Amino acid sequence: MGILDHPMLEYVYKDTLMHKMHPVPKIILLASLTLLAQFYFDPWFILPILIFMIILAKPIARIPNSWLLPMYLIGLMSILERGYNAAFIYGAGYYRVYPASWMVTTLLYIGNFPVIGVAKITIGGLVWLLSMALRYFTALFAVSIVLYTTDPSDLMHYLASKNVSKNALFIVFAGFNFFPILLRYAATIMDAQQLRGVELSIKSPIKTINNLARIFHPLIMRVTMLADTLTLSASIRGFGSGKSSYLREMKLAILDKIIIAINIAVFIAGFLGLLFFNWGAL
Amino acid sequence: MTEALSVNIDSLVYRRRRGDVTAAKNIHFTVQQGEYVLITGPVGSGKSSVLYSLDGTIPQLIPNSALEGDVKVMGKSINGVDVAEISRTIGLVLEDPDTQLTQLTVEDDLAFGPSNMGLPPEALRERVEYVIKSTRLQGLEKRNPRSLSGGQKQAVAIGGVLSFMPSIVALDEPISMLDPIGKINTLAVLKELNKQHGTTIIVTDSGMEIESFADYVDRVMIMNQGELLKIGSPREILTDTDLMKKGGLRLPQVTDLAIKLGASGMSVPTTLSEAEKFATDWLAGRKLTSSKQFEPQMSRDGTHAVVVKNLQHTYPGLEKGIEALRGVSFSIKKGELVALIGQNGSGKSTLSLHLVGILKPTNRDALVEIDGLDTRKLGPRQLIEHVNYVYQNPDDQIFCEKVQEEIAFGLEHLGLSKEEVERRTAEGLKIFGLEPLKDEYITHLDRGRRTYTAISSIMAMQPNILIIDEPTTGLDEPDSLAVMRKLRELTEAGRTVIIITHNMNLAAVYADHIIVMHAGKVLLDGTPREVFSQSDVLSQSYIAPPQITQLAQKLASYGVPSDILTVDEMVNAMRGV
Repeated sequence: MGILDHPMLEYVYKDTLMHKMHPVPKIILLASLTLLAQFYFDPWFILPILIFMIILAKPIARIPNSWLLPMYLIGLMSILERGYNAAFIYGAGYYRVYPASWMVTTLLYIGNFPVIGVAKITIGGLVWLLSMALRYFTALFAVSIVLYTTDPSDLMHYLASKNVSKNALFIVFAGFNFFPILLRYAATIMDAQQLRGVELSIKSPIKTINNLARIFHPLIMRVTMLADTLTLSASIRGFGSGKSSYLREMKLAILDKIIIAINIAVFIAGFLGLLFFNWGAL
Repeated sequence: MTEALSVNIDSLVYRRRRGDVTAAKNIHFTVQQGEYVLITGPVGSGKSSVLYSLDGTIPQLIPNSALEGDVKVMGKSINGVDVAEISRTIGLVLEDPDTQLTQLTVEDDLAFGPSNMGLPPEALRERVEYVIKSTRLQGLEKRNPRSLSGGQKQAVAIGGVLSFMPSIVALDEPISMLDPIGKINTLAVLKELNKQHGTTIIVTDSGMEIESFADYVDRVMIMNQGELLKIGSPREILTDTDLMKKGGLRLPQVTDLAIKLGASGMSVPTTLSEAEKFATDWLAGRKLTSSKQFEPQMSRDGTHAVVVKNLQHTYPGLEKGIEALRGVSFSIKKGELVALIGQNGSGKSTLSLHLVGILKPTNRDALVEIDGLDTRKLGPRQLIEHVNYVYQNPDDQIFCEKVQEEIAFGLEHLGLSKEEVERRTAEGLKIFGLEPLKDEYITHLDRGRRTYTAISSIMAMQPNILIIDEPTTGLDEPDSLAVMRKLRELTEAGRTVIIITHNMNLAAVYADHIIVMHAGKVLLDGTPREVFSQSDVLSQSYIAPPQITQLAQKLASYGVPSDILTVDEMVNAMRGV
């Protein structure tokens, strides 16, 4: 509560179409489109995919911005990192569709540096940076939709029905569980530390690092205990003592199979378009 | 009856940094199939160690533990049998519910145990529905169990074991975090399992809930310092004043009353219904005409320490969010000791987090004023000299390795001089006599000492208003009384104390003012006598008055005042003093 008052990066039960969707077609839908977006460089090809993801995430899955906040931060930080690379993308050989002479137009000459060479901002470099940003946000929205709308138990139930080893499933499941628990612990520790006078400032990088160090020690203590107790609590509730069953049966309906087939077809078409017709190339 | 358990523990040893600790020695007892047994004793008496050895958790899953002796379940030794295998016969509920939650929704957590038995989905669904109803978890099925209140988490942990219906259910302090009616409901569910399915029930308790158990259990086993002092019927054990004293336990209130009125032998009651019969026989039809009406309890004059008006808070999640507070209004005067009570999930902890500025109202017209400061505009850091908060689980606020470092931690962030930090740390260590443990690793201390450390670390910061969430959970009677006496000393020095508690006996004796929360609203607000005399209203919030008050209310037709709060008041009333 408090600083991290909202549940973040974890499943939240809601009665939406995305929540009701079987996890397998949902993951295939999101993964195929995300993968396609990662192959494309042309923002005009990536943008519709991103818009589709936003529609799925916001009006359909109803993911609140507070939940998405860490994703936005990750996206912005990644774009900043990529901004550096954009200054070095100015060669004409990158471009097959758009006129190279226009794409290499220099907008801002930064300088010629030892080792790294010339750095400058070109139209092509900016377009490339834009496509990177669109790609990141497409992937982040896809991951958000999966995490927010998919009960890991459902996924586990489905995988179990496909005879995936139960020990392997528990490790996957514990991983799904671990991060939100970690966030909750971190939130409680931060709240409790504020009540002991600790300033949790993010204005100064040095203070931020100090703050993280302060949180780290108690967090590690709690996480170590958690790992032990998860094993203990699973054992005393019979985990691993024989064949398991599940509360919900996760069978694929015909509609699910149709969605999977359409997605695979779209992905193959998009990929072949890229190979043979330069779809998504710059 | 067949033998469900045969326990012969010659010695049970933990290895700790400072050498071996013998947790239990020479423990020999048997439990018959279908019995309901209470193991009681103060913190550190060895009761939990014995319980954890019943399914092999000790020594298999607890590092550095060794068990000499034998435990037989249904006639078979469990030595070398995997805990997961034994769990089909013995279901163990751990003391801290947080450690037992493994799934992301309540219903999945409840289904986890039986799903490991391979039950078909329909049977799983039936069991989950039964447990949800019996543990009062309706409406929470899709919630993440880790987002629930402490009491609700405990209900999920208990339900998680009940759902796989083992032959034996062993529960470590199962009701310490529950509201009074939640306690009774849980014990009743266990009794129902016991009666209808012949399930053997073994529970531990530190003696704080002795009145609740007396009504339900068949036998009581009393332990202290790793030794089994005696096992017998509730009457044999609970009416034996010397034995209870030797075990570091208090008598149930009605038993204490009868003994103080001169009863002995079979006439001494251990339950409320027995006490009603005892008291009516004792009164022999006479009506107490001279019974004294109590003076109204002290109402402190002066300025307000806390003023809250129309406070609302809605947590995000589910479809429309979760309404934790729905227009709360009250005020607290300086120097009061206030008990905030109410059923699990009624909004008490959320309210407290508003008072310290961690949470902010979700409505614009709310007012939360602490020491005259509007907390809506201030963060916790700006408020800590005015108000501070001790978490329910001491581990949530322990950041350092050693006791002394922990107490100094907050002081070092207050901008005090080194000498002042040292002086206040030394004072903090004195509060609960922690000086000998000052260089001890906190993780090696028992729950009581960790709670003392957590409370001392906040008290050393000297806030004007101190809020403590469940100050006595996990503590035994002597430790609980020590905490309450220290809090009373604080209020006598002019500070204000707010406790969140499910312990009605302590609230009745120590609080000046009680606020009862129900479904995110204030249900009652008054002195303990005013509040506890309204049993009907209290029951809406799953609160029951102390046992002695309940007895007084049953005897109202004999002229016994219905706002009696202590055994001594009742003795005087019965004697017509």
